[in-house]
Amino acid sequence: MNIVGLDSLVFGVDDIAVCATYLEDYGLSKVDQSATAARFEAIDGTGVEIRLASDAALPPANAPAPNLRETVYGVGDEATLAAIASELSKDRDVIERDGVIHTFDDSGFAIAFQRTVRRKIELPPYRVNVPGQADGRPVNQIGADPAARPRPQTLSHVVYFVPDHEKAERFYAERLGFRTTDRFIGMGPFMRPQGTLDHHCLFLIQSFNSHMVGLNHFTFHMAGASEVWQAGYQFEQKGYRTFWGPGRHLFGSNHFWYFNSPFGGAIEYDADMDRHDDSWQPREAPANADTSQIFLFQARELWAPGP
Amino acid sequence: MTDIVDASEQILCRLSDIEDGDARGCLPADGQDQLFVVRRGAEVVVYLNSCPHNWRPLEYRRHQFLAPDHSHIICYAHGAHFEIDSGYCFAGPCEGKSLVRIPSRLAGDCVVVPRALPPTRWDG
Repeated sequence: MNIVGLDSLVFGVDDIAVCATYLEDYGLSKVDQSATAARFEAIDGTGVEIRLASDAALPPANAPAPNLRETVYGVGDEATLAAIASELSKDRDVIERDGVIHTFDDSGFAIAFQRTVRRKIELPPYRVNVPGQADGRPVNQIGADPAARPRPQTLSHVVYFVPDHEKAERFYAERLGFRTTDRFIGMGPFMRPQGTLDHHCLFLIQSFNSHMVGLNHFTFHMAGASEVWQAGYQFEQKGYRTFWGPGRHLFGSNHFWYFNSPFGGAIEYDADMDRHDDSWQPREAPANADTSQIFLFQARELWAPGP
Repeated sequence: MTDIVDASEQILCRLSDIEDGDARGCLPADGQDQLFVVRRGAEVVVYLNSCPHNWRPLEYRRHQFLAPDHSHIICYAHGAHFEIDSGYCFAGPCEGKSLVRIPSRLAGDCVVVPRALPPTRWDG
C-alpha cells in the first residue's frame, strides 16, 4: 500500500491561543486560526491541527485532554485509498467524509487516510564543508547565521503509548503493510509505511498501566543537525523546556531534541534519519540509555572564556 | 528580610510574585527551575520540579505547570495529572505515584524552604 507518511496530527487542547503561540514559536507557519481551531504547516504542507478538546467534530479521546485525537496519513493514489477502505471495513466501522477515510486502529487511536497534501519541496542544499570533498558551501558563503530561523520541513513521526505492542504492530504490519525497521525488546517497533523509506513514521511504546495512554511524542524533520541545535536553542531561549536532548539516536540515527508541550506529549526536532528499503533486516535491542542514543548533551547559556 | 530566615533555610520567592491560584518555577540551575510553588490564597505548596514518570521537569514553558483552569498540576512531557494539595498522580503514566513535596513556610511575604533539597535526577 502506497502510504507515504503522516499528513497531519489533530489535537484536542485546552487553550487554542497558547497552543498556537507554541507552534509558531516552534517554527511552523500558521494557515488559519479561530477561537476554536487552528492549523499550522511545515514547508511541505504537512502539519498540525488543533481544536478545543470538547469539539464534537473530533473522534472520541483515548486519553485525558490535552491529547492527540487523530493521526492522518497521506496516500499516493486513489487505489491505495480504496484498498485501505476495503481492508479495514472488514472488521470495523470506516467512515468516508470529503475524500478522507476515518477509522480506529487496534489500540484505540483514531486514524485517517487521504490523498496526501504533501507538496514536493526543493530546498537549497544543506551545505557542510568536509575536508577531502568538494566545497560544501561556495567560497565566502557564511555558515553560522544567528538570524537564521530554521523551519520544520515535513512531519516526521508520531509515537503512541499502546496497551499491547505486539497486537498494535500486527495491525499496522498485516492490515496496512507497514514494515518494522527496528525494535526495542519488550517496548515496541519502529515502523515505516511502504510509501516512504524513512526509518520510521510510527513508533509504538508498550504502556505499563491503564493510564499510560495516548501520545508519547511527535516531530518534524529539520534540514540537519545544526538546524536541530539552532532551532532548539532558539526555542529554549523563548522559555520552552527541554525534555531530552540534544542528542543522536541509534535506531534511525536521527539527531533529536525533545521539548515538553501542551499537546499531551513531547514535541521533537529531528534530522538526518536513516532510510531503509525492504532488504533491511530489523535489529533488536533492549531499551536503555546505551541503546537510545550515541551521545547526549544539555544546552547551556551562551558563554565565553574571560581574557 | 534575611534575618527572619534560619541559616538552614532559603527564600524561594515572594508570595506576591504568584497570582492566586497560579504556579511559579523557582531556583534555576542550568536553565531549569528546580522547584515550583503553587499558591492557594495565603498558602503555598512547594514541589520538586521532577515528574515521577521520567524524573524530568514538568512545565512546557517557564511557570506553566498547571492545567489552564488551574484545577490540577500537569506534567507536560507525557500528560501526568497531579492533585495540587497532595501531589498525587491521579492520571497518566505514573498514576499512583506522587510529586516530591518540599516542606515550606511563609515568613511575611517570603516563601521559605530548606537549603538542603533532594537531588533532581534524570532517572528514578
